[in-house]
Amino acid sequence: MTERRTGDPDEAALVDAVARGSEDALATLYDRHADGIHAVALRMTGDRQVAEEVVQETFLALWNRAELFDPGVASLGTWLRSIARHRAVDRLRAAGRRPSLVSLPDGSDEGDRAGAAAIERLDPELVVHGGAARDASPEAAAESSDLRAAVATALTGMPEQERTVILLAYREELSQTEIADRLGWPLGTVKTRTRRALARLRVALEPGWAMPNSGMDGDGPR
Amino acid sequence: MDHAEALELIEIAAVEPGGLERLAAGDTSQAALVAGHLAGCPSCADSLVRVARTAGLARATIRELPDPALRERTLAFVHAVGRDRSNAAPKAVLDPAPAALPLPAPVPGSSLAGRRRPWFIAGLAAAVVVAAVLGFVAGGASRVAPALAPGEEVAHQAAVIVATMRIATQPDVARVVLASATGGAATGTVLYSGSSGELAMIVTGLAPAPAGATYACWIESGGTKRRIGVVYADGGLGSWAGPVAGLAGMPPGAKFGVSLVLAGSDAGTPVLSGS
Repeated sequence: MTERRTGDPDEAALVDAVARGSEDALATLYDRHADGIHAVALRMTGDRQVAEEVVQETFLALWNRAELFDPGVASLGTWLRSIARHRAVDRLRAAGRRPSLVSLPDGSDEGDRAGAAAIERLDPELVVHGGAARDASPEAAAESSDLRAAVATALTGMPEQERTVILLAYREELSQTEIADRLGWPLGTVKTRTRRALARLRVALEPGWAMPNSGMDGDGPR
Repeated sequence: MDHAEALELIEIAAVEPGGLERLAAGDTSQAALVAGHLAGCPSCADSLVRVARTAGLARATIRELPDPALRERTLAFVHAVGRDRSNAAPKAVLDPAPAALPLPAPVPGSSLAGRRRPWFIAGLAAAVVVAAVLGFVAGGASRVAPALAPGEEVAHQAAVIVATMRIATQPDVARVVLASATGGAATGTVLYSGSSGELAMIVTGLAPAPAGATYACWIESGGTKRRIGVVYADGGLGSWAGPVAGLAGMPPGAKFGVSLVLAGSDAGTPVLSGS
């Protein structure tokens, strides 16, 4: 999933299709943008459950107000991430918490001001606050999006057993021993599959790095 | 220690929480061996740098990726509570999951077309009575799909009416208004009594729940949310009534609500709430 830039005719056509009631178009836009939206929400709230609800509310807003998107003002990704930020802030306020990170358009860039105006058209009740930090540059956002896409593709392409161990290690912060206990696999098997998964990720993140073919022979009893 | 052994220890350390830090601290026998090897092996030292970078990038990225099941929940949620765009164009069936991590099967929309309701008039009259007791005007789009077999729907309506009447006569009856959590047209009212330990909930304006999904009602107090039942609905009104533990000591600020829950999932998306 690669971030699209302002004025992308393909994305404008998809949003038009959403406005005409196409759930296929909505699904396509979800596949393109959900990762980025989830990342923003998770960074702000630190809570996966809340971040997931922010994702759902963001796409609901897209469905309900697709007509308000103007591709000449901001890219769809920027528009959606702005919605997600505001939803996350609302959730945090409702819970009496402060956001971990608030990065809203600070008006110092024409694109940011246009983005803020677009947000206000979307929901006049939203208040765009002065940002503590500027949005990431388009180049940084694209690089981050490409990174997520590369990792997601690598995860999709690896065997389920390898994906299981790497997700347990990274998402749940389990040690190799804890993973072995959780899955009922021998520790050696867990280590082998973990190293294979890491090697696949390394290839995805550093294309010049070849998959090693030594040191990981055999898969253990399972 | 040879290259293969050193690389294995480095890679496993990179994946374990705090593993590389422990390796760098050198205060275990393995860490000391690795340090000794790295001191004389630029190739492995370079591998350490690259593995650490990759593992760090992968960890940060993976932790931010959403659960693959979120896709179906999100599309179902929008289908259920999003504005009706059926006049604009025919709604397509939800896209099958793309080549990605294994996902549940697509959830097609539900429809009330062709279903007959010979008891509808009596049911609507009963619902009006219930609504009047709750101080709530029935209405809203008649798009909510029932989850009960046809023969059970009348019995359900009757049970809700009886419970509502009973609760309304209690000296400690309390009423909570539910508002849409998504900005939609759905609304609801809760009536409950600590002395009788019963609760009745009437909602209106909910869109049809997709096949494989239900609307569940819940109470949240003291930071804990507990599901109390499934909202059964037809003819524009959804309802649930029954005994609920803990109503007598319900603290101020307790929240009541309805969430859309996919089958097989514990996670739900709030669509109505109030306190």
